Amino acid sequence: MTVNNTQINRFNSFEQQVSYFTHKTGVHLPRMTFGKGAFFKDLGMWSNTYHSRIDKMESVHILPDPVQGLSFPRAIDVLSSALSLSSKVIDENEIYGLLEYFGLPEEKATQPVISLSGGEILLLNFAKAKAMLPYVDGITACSPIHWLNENRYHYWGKLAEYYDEKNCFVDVALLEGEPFIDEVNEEPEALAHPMPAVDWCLSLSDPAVIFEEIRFPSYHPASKIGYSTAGDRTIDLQSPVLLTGDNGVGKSIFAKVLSGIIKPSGGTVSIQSPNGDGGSRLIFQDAIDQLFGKSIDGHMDWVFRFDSQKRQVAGEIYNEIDTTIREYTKERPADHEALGPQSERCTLLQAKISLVSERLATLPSVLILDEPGWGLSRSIARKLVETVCRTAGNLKVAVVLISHHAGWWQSMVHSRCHLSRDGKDAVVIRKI
Amino acid sequence: MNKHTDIKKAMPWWLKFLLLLIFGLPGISGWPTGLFVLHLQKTDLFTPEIAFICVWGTYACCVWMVVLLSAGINKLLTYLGAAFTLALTVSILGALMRGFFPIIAAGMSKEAISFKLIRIFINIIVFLPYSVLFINSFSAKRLIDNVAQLGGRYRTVGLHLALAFRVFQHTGEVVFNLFEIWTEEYPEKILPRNKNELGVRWYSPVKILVWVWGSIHAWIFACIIHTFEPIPAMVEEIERINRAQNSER
Amino acid sequence: MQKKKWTFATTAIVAGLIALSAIATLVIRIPIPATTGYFNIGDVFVVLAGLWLGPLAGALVGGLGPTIADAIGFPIFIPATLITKGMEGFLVGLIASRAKDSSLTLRTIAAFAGGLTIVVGYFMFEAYIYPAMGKSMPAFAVTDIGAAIVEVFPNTIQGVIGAVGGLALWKALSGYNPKK
Repeated sequence: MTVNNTQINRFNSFEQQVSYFTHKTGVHLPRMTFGKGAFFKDLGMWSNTYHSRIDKMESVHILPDPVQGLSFPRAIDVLSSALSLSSKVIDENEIYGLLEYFGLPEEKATQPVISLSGGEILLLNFAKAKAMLPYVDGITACSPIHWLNENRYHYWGKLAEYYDEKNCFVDVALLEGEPFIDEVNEEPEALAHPMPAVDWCLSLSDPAVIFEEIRFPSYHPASKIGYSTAGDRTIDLQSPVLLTGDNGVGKSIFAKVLSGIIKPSGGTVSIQSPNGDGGSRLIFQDAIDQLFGKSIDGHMDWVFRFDSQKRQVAGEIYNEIDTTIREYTKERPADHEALGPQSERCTLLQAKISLVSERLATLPSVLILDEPGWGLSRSIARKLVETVCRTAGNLKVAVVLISHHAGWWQSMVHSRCHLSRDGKDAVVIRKI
Repeated sequence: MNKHTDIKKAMPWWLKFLLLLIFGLPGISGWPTGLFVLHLQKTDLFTPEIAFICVWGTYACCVWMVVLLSAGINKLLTYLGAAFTLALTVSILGALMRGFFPIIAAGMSKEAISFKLIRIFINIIVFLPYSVLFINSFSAKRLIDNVAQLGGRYRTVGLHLALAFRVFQHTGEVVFNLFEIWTEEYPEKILPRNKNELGVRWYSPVKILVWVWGSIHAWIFACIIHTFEPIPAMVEEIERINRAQNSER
Repeated sequence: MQKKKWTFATTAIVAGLIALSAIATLVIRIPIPATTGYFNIGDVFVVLAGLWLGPLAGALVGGLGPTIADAIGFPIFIPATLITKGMEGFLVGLIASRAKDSSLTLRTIAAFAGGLTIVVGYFMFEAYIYPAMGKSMPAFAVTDIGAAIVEVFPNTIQGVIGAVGGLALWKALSGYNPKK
């Protein structure tokens, strides 16, 4: 499927990608990794200048964090406001039609946007973009298929075709190595040295997570997810483990159950690993949020305020990972942008390294990385994950990678599990 | 659709508003509960305090029945859980404050203060479920649509309202997300995860207080930063729609 | 960010501050049994709104945020909070809007004037207005002049915390101001 009007721009770092997006659209996204001073400076700069900016062209925007571009409370509101640009009377069937066209079930229409999964939010952005087509000159999108499972890539293709037919521009900002439709993905390089393995067991006794409906201060619909294994209740695994599954199947919820953020309403989940009672640690998809509003160094100092020994260990782990990646980028100068100056800690990659180091220093039983490649070029993502897995392996910490991009990690994992829906409320974990 | 009657869909919004307001009158005006309390006192079988508790306890049951009928048993239990937790916390704090700062009793007797705390307790367990029911009985979307359909500058008002609701929604989500992040980082919530050096010195309790103060500071800034982070993108989106609708006119 | 024109950006930030002030008021509630009122830290955001966005935004954040919190558990204080904290935000914004650039002096006066508004406002309501209303509507008969006098002290603490906290937040936010 070739789309003529699509301009693809590739960047080596998240910061370059965001700068391009800002340059193209005028949307200033405040920097989180620099700490609160820089954040408020960016916010103020935007607030004082956005009114004076004159846009020659109108475009739909898909941001690196796609939920940020949705300004209405529910999916149905987003689409009805988009459709209202071309028609005063909105037919609800048109809204449901749009949702269905992009693979979203009808019940998602009245769900608040914040309760949708990352992939669903992206698809909603696509539906919105199609609805707004009569009134815009084009679309500017950052990593528009990154959050999607491969079987849903064609939805972007459909959208791009529509824009192409109307001679509207399609401007896509991707990170180097990021998969895109119609492109042949390179086979990943084999690892130079074998990855250290850590044997561990995951035991499930029918854990179920029940979310009651919450309406204030923020709406969450009621839902229930029960996890089970296909056969034995205990799965023997060898770290690193790759966990895959379709959009919205419940991978992130499972990660939160494993790390203790969410306690199962029934049943149990337990881990037996060399580090025993270390507990599990998790790095979310959007890792920057875990800085909790602090700068990267500020976060490290705060977390280890009462444990200087672990602070030192975390610092050593950080330096080890940082040095390894810097060595790697010596032969790839373009990738050096992702790491930034050694004296300053301010990039997304440095934030991820810092969060990983801090967690490894606490010697957890399992370290879970949810979409570790988000915001990184493929080469840097692979190098980061390889280095983290090696470091973790040496510390006898098991690693679980949750990702849609199995191809990126396949050569470095020892075990693989897949989550799939078995009925409305049941999710089965299978070792493959 | 919920098998229980959904107040939101059952009747016109103004009728809903009126009925809920009438039902909430005891909280605002003390009528008719005040009358019942007086009548009970006149029987000489009840002291004023017991009469108050009996009448307001009955009123509480009525409120819970309405919530049960309109929202279902699960939501009622959720609201009651939150209400009792808040009511107990507030009452216990009040009792502690009485103990540490007797001056705030303003010369009232211990029994009078206890009764005031009981009143606060009853207030919360009645009005928390009522308030949540009130809020959930009206559709924000319908309000926005109605305003938007008025045309002219009222359409812009509708966009402002929609944006405000979205930001409200987002802020609530920010607090949830931050709580998850905090739980991951600090599983014990009110103590640091890495605390090997905490119990070593005699001044450790002071260090904990400093840490708690720092945590409050961190929470405040984290809430602000995460609340404001997507605002540029959201505002740009609304502005684009506004420009498009203006050009259509 | 002193804006003369009310924009979508202002709406978004005001809505965020209303939500934050409601949450801050809800989260830490220390009751004052003498008046059935309670001590909280929501004023930090009310003062911030006045300092940062001006009198109208200050009035909205002050009037709506803590009132939403009052609606959950302390509905009897809705009228007092709506007016007192709305006035607080308005007054802070009104005085601060006359300050030049990032000048701190007038803004400090504004913040503490807001704190004083809480003390005076709640005293007036609890000493006079509520007892008067309580004669025809018993639900409002929760305070008297003695209780109002006792609450002056915790309200003063609350006002000071609100002023200091709001100023500190504004100082952190003001670093971006390109007019500097």
